[in-house]
Formats: sequence, C-alpha cells, structure tokens
Amino acid sequence: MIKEPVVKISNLSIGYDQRTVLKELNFSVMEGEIFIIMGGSGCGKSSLLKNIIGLYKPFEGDILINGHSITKAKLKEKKKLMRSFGVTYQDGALFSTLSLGENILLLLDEYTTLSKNEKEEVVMEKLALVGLAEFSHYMPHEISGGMRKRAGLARAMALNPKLLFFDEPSAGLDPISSAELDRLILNLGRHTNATIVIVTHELDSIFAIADNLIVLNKEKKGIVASGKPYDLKKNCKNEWVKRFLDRDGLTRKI
Amino acid sequence: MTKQTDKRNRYIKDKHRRVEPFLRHVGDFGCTFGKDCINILSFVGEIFIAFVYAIFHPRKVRWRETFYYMDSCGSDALPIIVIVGFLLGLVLALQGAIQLTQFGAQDLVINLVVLALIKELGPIMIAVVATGRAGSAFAAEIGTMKVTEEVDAMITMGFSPVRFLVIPKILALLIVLPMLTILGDIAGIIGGMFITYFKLGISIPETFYKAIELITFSDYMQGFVKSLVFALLIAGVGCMRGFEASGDAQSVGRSATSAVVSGIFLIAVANAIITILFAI
Repeated sequence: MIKEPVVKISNLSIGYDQRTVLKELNFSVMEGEIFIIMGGSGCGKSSLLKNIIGLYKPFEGDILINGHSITKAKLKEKKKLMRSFGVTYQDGALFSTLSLGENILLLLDEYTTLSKNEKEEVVMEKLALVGLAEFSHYMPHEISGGMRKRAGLARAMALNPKLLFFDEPSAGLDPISSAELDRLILNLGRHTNATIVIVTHELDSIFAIADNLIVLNKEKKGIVASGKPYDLKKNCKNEWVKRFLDRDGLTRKI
Repeated sequence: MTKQTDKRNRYIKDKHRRVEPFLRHVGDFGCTFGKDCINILSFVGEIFIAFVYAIFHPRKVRWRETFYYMDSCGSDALPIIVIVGFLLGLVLALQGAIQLTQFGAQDLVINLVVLALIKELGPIMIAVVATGRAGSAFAAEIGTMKVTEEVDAMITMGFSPVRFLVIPKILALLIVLPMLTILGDIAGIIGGMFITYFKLGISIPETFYKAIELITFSDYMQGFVKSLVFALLIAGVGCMRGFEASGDAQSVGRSATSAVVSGIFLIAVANAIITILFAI
C-alpha cells in the first residue's frame, strides 16, 4: 500500500506584498520522517514554514496536511487543522505571563476534558520529556534560551500531535545544548513516530538527524536540491549546494 | 513643425511627470486608508464576537489577567490620578475665584469646579492619563508579543488573540476607568474646596453640601458614560496598534506612540459627540 504524504506542497509560490520570495515549490513529507528545509539566510525558509502552518496565505499553489488543504480551509476547519500539529518557534514563543507549566496547561484547559489532577500529570510528563520537570513554576524569562526552546517543544507536544514543526531549533545555542536538542528531536521521532519538519541551516544538525531535506536558494527562488543529506554531499551536481554543504571548503590547518 | 511637435511632446511628458507622482500619492493614500478602515472594522467585529462569547462563556474569560490589568491600570494609577485631579480642581477654582470675585459671584466658584470636573474635565483628564499609561502599555505588550512570535504561537494553537489578549484588557479598563474617574472627580472637588476655604473663606461643610446639591443624575451619567466609552477606545486602540507592530523593536515603539496619539484624538472626538448628545 502506498503511503499518503503527511505534508504535500504543490506548485507553491509565496512572498510579501507583491514580491515573490519562493516559487513553484513541490515536495512531500512522509509519515515518521525527519524532514529538513534548509537554505542560506534570507532565502525564505521561515516564510515557507509560516505558509505551511497557515499563518500566511500563499500567492499560488496548495498545501495539504494529512490530505486536507490548509490554504483553502475555512476558518473553523483551519483552526481544527492547526490543532493537529505542534509548532516550536525560534525563541520558544512561550507566553511570557504564564509559567512553563501554565503554558502547557493552557492547551489542556482549552481542548481536553481531563480532570485537574490528570492535567497536572500531563504537564509534568511533557516537561519531564524535555528534562524540565523541576522548572514547572519558572517563568519564561527566568530560564535560558535552550531551556525555553525545550519548554516550547513540551508545549507543542501537549496534545500529542503526530506532526511537529520546528523553526531554527538550534539557532543561538552552544554546541552541547544544540546536540542535546537534536538528540531530543531524534528520540521524539523514534518513540512517537511523529513526522517532524525542521527549518534550519545548521549543518551539524542536518547531518545528525535528517532523513530527507530540500535546499532552497535565494537567487533561484526555489528548490535547488533534494534528497538524503549524505547522498547530497557526495553526489550533488549543483555547485552552490556543494559549497553550502562543505561550508565553502573552509577548514583551518593547524 | 517637427520642432513644435517635439516641444509639445516634451510638455506633455513633463506634465505627466508632474501629475503621476501626485496621482500615485492620492492612490496610495486611498488604498492605505481603505485598508485601515477594513482592518478597524474587522478588529471591532472580532472584539464584538469575543465579547458575546465572553458573556455566554464567562468561565472562559482570562480572569487572572483581567485582575492583573485592573491592578496595573487601577491601583497603580491611583496616586497620579488623585494628584492630577486635585491640582486640576485647585487651578480651576483659583482661576474661577480671580474672575468671579470681580463680579461678586465668588459663591459660584464651586459650581464651576464641580460641573466642569464631573461632566468634562474629570473624565477627559483621567482618560488622557490612562491613555499614557494603559494604552501605550497595551500596545507595547502586544507589539512585543508579536515580535517574539507569541501571537503566532497563539494562532497556531487555535486560540483567538482577541479573546486571550484584548478582552481581559478591555474588561479591566471598563471596570477601573469609571472608578478612577469618580476618585479623580472627588480629588478635584477637594482641590476646589481648598481654594474656596483658604482664598474665599467659604466654610468646607457649606461648599460640600452645595456641591452635593448641584450634581444631578444626568451630570453624573454624562461623566460615567464618557468614562466607559473612553475605556473602550483606549484599550481597543492600544491593542489594535499593538497588533500592527511587526519585525523589530522600533515598530513596538511606534505602536506605543501611535496608541497614545490616536487614543487622545479619539477621546476628544468621542467627548464632543457625547456632550452634544447629552445637550440635545
């Protein structure tokens, strides 16, 4: 039986006002896959993500999530579709007036009929999953950037979504925190069989966790390469992609 | 002949060059104005829907945030409101005393202070202070939340930002501003009494009873209705300007400034309309 893609992008063009940023994009993300959208700074990676999750409306084309079009959905349908996935933002985007526990509790209060004790259990379970169980009462400004990102992930996991989106998860983190977060994402994908879409340009993360990736280019305004990370590094014919994946051949001889 | 045609063509070209930017500006202005009107209407509509939802689902209202804003816009603003009210009443009575004494009408000083404060100056001054404090704070808070993607996060979670961020602020100001106005009015009347007692030698009980007798239900209602309308405008405009912020810290600053400027402008317009309606 052929699997249906979890996310399917067809003939998508996106941009701001009348300026096209990316055009004629076509790709699919399959179930259980860790899929990376990469490209240079300012190529439109985060804008593409915001179009996929329904925050912006594309100029042209369609975005299907689990077979439902988020671009054509009516408001009520769109809200329901949005609840079916979790999103973590660059800086966590935790609600600053709520503690970490309350950030997760908010979703449970709105969308579940669990009892108070059950909700508290879920909150602790999600925070434990990202190693922040003892920080439940901390406010977002009282913890580090890496912890905020992990707390954002815990919140995104609150309703056990089978699809997760990450916007630059390792941006601004030291190598150890970045590796910890990558490990967390990898384990999450393995244990929950969730489909994970990540926007990043961190090469270490890409080679450590990606199953598949697409490479976006600012000048071409589209996808210049796609495939598995090591295959691309070895066999890609596109000179720009090769330079990108080799960090432009920059190594320092001691 | 060719020379003449060239000259004419150059003239037409120059004329187009002069007219085109003007037309473009008019067109741009029209488009921006139209867009703004649509945005305002849709925002008002969203607030209305969220309010109706809040009435039928009071448990879903973010009461904790509402109490927080009542505290920050109410009790925290109380000292400045009392001082402004007191000084306003004091200055009004002093100026009135200087002028009215010339005509032997110093007894009417308290009338001037009480009516001017309760019907006009009290609600307006307290609303202006509230715009500077609450309106700009609301705009900056929501603007920062937009820049840090908290509003985006809210939308992708399926929450209505209006219900979560705007309704608690509007509710808080609707409850707190009329109270602040009453307290500001009282402080102003005390300021007025201070002058009538020390400058005009009229006893405090006499002035007090006169003030009580003077205020009719309609006068009180005018001040009350004004403070309710001002609360709605201050919170609504502050939040709307906050949602307009995007990208960087500068835009948050611009939103806060814009919230104060538009807030004060709308207060002046609404004040004139309500005064006319009550005068009819």
